[in-house]
Amino acid sequence: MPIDLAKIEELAPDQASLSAAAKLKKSSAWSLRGCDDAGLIWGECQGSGAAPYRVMCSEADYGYKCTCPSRKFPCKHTLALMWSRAESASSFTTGPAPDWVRDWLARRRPGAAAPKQAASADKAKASAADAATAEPAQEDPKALARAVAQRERNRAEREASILAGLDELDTWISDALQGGLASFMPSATERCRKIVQRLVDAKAPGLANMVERLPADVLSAPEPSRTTRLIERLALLHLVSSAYRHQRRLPHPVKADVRQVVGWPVTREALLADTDALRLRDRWMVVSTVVEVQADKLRRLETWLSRLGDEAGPRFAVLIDFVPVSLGKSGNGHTVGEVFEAELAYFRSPAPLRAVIVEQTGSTIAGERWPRPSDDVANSIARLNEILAARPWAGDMPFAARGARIVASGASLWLTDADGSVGLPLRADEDDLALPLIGLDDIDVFGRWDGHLLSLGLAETPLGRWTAS
Amino acid sequence: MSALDDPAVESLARSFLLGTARNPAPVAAALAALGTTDGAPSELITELTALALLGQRMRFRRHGPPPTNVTAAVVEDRRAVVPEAARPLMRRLVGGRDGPASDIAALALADALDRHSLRPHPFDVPRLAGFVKAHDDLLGPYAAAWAGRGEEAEKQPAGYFDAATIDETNWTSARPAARAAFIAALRTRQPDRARALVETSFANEAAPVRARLLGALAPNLSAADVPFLEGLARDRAPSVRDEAQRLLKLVPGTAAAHDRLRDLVARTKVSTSGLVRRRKVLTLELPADVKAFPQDPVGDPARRWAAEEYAGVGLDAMAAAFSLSLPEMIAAAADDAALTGLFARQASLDHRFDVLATIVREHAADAWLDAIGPGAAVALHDDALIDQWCAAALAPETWPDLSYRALEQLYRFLRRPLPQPTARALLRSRAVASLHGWTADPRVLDVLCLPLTALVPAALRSELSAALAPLPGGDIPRTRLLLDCLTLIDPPHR
Repeated sequence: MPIDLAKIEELAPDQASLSAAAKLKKSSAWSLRGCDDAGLIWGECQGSGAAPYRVMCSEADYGYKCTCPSRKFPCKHTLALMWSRAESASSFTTGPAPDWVRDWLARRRPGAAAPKQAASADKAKASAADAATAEPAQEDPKALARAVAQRERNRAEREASILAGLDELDTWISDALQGGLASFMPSATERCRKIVQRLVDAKAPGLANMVERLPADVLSAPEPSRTTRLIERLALLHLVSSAYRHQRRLPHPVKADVRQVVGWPVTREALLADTDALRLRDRWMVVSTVVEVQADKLRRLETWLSRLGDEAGPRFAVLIDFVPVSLGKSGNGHTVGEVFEAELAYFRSPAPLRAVIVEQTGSTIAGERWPRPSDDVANSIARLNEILAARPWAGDMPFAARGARIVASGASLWLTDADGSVGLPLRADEDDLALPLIGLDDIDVFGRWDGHLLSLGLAETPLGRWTAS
Repeated sequence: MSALDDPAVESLARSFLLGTARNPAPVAAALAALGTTDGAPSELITELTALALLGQRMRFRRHGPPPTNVTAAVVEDRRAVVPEAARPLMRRLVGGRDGPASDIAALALADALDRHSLRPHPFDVPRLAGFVKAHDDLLGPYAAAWAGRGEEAEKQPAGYFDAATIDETNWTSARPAARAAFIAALRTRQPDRARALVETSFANEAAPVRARLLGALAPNLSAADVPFLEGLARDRAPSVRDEAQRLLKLVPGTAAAHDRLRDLVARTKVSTSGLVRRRKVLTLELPADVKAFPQDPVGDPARRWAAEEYAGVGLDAMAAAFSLSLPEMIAAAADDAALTGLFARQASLDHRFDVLATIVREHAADAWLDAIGPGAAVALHDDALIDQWCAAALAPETWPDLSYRALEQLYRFLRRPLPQPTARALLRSRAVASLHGWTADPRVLDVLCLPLTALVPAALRSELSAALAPLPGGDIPRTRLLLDCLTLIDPPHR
């Protein structure tokens, strides 16, 4: 899809970047502006240095790269290149991409690459298999064996370390119970910090993260329900700890999932090489985007997708990316309402949700209506419990319902069914945006349920589409 | 396997809350119900297992209806929603990131919406929060209700009305801005009735509202208003007392007016100049603390002081006091910017547009600035009168250049575009042509073009676009955004 000005405006980190980009649109600022048939554009823009900045961008998914040192993403050069493309595509010379563009393309995740460059799923599997068979032939067998043995030793050491950490975690929880949770809260931050450090040392960063978030999670709850929230959080920690200890007795998806929750990483490459991983090729609509800064100075970018096709399989997926906060302001590259066709690979889980894009085909379009969910509010709530039963440590869960209403109840907003017999409370910090939904009937909504509050992402209403972002 | 029952949940939670050291958790009893006590788990493990089960039990909550005090506060708004294409433009112009919500572009947009009885899309209202709060009286009942939802209960009006639906039966229930607008409009048609309505509701209002309503009585002041205004000398709020005093000064024919006329004559030096044709010259002597600053016509303290101090006395009364005819008086003050400005304001107040045209075209092209300066209280209550004032007061062909502050002041006074002939003259003036040679800060150029865009009527917007076309595209982004917005909201063919 050709880049349009609205998209550029959405991508721009601020108005100043747009104004600066406007000045760079003139052709004299560019020694080169090119494009190919696959939706790649590139250019060289003369900056303050001797060498021009090299700017490249994919029209298919708005991925971009610029060699300038700006801390804004996208920078003014990228915006200017996109803007020039939107206003005057004819000023770009069509031809093969230069090496530096191809290098960038090769380093990008294959799913985000331009369609022509992306490998098909079969090819990806085949190449992974080829690599597996080809590598031993090229390397010294003894060195390889040593490396495998070392990896195995490291793995065993880490397993032992994690188990020791879990013991300490259980002792810590038990101490909290013996002293009473009423006396735990006043010193929760300090007490959590110590066990967090221990879990990090034990190489269980996932659990450490869960404990680190505990005080904030509990304190964000209304005063009367903080004890309940604390019990839930501590119970969850023990549940994960216990599941990890008994992982050999668990079904494979549950085992894989709990290992990820504890902190064993699954790289993208490993996921793509996993031939048993669930893969789905379909059209996907972005139904919610989340940008959160984590305590570890990483910006977490979540893109929630709704599958538009009718085939069996998970209806939703979430893409999660992390960007260092030190890189400056950056937003989610996706916009709610965008639709694209792609193959997704799901991380193993009893309730598959997190996924990565294996391959994106075609271009991104907007303006399509989100199909009506098949479930009403009551059924959708029941589905939340199904997810929880399958994956007891589930965090944010997708919620999609048809025929909903938003009502004000005292100072808070609720999502209910048509007759108000069942409902979910909405997050209070999103009340302002959701307020206009009050009084509208027969709304189709997508939201994220965190176990206590619903965060709306998208709603199709009689007044048109509502989005939270 | 069954779930933990409620008594088990309660007893476990109580034990965990108070501490299992002193209140041992009834783990065995709770787990027995689940059939999970096979084997002999250690005390520690059993307790933690019970915690895990309790936590999961809590997470599997039953979702009931919302609390019973459900209130669906829906404000009816019969205005049409803005065209879909205008929504993203509005969000960029006056919402989010860097869009100023209360500048001249925002005001022009709000006025255009009000003129065409349009309202922002409800989903955009939260994203245009600053804009909606700044112009809630122009954007329809829904936006007004949204803007007022954070106010304390006692300050909230009983209802939200569109301006067109306010009448004498419900005006006291509307928001203060809407009430003042209603009184100001009524005042132009029925001055006594407007005053009577204000008098009856006055005692129950808060001080800021009283001052606002009083200000709405400024048009068509007469001797009939004097008792009410004099009675406010004892009002408990200084702002109300000051406003009443200001209005009293503007009532013609009163003792206070005679005093001010005597003061004006005393301060005005009458001399004679010319060798062949002797003519009188009037020069106003300023107080010691007022210094003239002729370089700034918009903010010249001398001109402002003279207009505020002596406006309301009456042109004929002034001429008689100087023993001159009206044309002679105006000609005699031609070299005194403060006196000329005073006469321009008085001519506007008295609707003596022929006199105003003479002042502007023969003596001071920028005298219209004094006519509409702060506290002018010039009442132009219908479009025909505004057209006449513009035709008399504005001679763009004589303007040497454009001033942002002057154009903004003009728009804030008119609150609508110029009449077509005046706007056409403006677009074809050398002042607008001078923009093409702009070499100063381009951001200033954008700021300057905003009120110009607001003042150009729909029919001439294409001519404005043509005039702006030679300017570098990126230099006036906000102006172009306003232009696009207005074109969608206020199209030429409507």
